[in-house]
Formats: sequence, C-alpha cells, structure tokens
Amino acid sequence: MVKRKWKDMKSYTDIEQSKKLAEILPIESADMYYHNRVDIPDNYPLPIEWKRGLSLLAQEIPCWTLSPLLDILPEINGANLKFERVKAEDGYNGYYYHIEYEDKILIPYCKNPIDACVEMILKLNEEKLL
Amino acid sequence: MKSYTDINQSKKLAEILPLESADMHYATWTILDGDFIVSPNQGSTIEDLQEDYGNQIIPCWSLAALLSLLPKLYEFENDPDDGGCQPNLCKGWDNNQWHIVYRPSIYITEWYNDPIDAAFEMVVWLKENGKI
Repeated sequence: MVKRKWKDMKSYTDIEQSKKLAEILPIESADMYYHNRVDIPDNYPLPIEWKRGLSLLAQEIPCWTLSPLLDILPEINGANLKFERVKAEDGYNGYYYHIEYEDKILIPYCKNPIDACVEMILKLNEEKLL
Repeated sequence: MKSYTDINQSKKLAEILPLESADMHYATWTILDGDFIVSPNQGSTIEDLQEDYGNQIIPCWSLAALLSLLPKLYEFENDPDDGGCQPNLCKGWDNNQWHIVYRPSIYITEWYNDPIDAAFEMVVWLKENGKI
C-alpha cells in the first residue's frame, strides 16, 4: 500500500527565524514554542507545542504560525496591506508570496508565506515601523 | 486569532479536499482545556495515523496551508489575452478585518476578523466552482 504523506510545507517559523523574532516581538504574540530540553540529541528536530497562553521557560523558544505573524503587521499611514500569492514565471515550478504596503514598503518574493511575513516584520523593525 | 481551521471547518474541508493538503490534525481522543489537541503533521503519514487512531484523526489546515491552495485564476478561461489574476489577502484598516479577492468580477470573500476564515470561504468557493 502506498502511504500518503501529509503536506510537506512550512507551517511555522523555523528556529533561526523564531530566535530573531523573539528579540523584537512580544513573546505573548507567539502561538507555539519549541521545546529545548537538555535530553534532545544534537541534530534532532526540537519538538513543537502550542503555547496556549502559557509563559515560557528560559530554554524554550517561541514560534509563530502565519496567522499571528499577519496580526503583528501594523497600519502604516493607511497604506493598503496586501499579501499576494503569485505564480512564478521565472522557471520555478511553484508560487511566490509577496507582501506590500501599496508599493511603499516591499519585500522580496519568497517561496513560502511564513518567510514572506518574517521578511516584512524584520524590514519594518529595521525601519522602526513596528 | 485562529491559528488553524476550527473543527467544523476542518470536517467540511476533509470532505472536499485531499487529506494530503492538510498540514495539521485534530487528535480527538485527547481533550486539553476543553479543546481537542491539534498537532502539526511532522513526518507522519495519513495511513500511519489512521492505523493507530482511525476516525479519531481529523485533518486540519493552517492559514499557510490554505493559502497554498489558491490558484491563479482566469476571468475568461478561453481568452488567451486574459493574463489571469492572483489571490490577494487584504486587511481593511477601518474595520481591522481581512478578506481575499481575485478580481471583484471573479470572487471576493466577506470580511473576517480572522484571515483563516476568509481563506476557508475562498477555498470552499473555489472547490465548489471547480476551480481547484
């Protein structure tokens, strides 16, 4: 019997992104977290759990799915916030994701929506617009 | 803010979408804080989980998974000059709500507090109209 795999996609921020975001966003805005227990071997993926409003221990890393990341994006001078899924026309067999504030604040095209949102949050933070 | 489809949305989507398109699942044998536990589908297969838990598995979709289902659409499908249009998830700052739009002449969802509800409405419309 052929076993069907679930969708292989990025559903939440990876560890590097999570660490960066943890430095600039309120921990309460995260909806998940990575366990970072001492008994997990090196190179083994950290288990992930829903935060459920709990406060985190120092060794735990907050993590964000797409919904709370979008919720963080602020209004900027009333500019329309647009999150676009664009069919690639450059030979890449897939879609790109793109966020913009009415052509005023743009990010590069990304291959998944989590990366696009993280890019925009980091850019807004750089420009002190968060 | 909803991080994934609620149980009723998930059951509806499970009827109309391939289960492989889900990136999470409800484990309905365990209740925590009054809700079924939801887990990302990390590495498991549908059959492995069904073998262990049968019908207690309900697939579930994060916003990222729902957005990944939205295709480019053509208003006039036989018109080679119609370049088609991409789905846009937009936020209205006056109402602080979200909707998804192709062209207004194709389809626009209602406004919702949670973008996942807009994505759910759009996916159901696309499926019921043979677009995906």
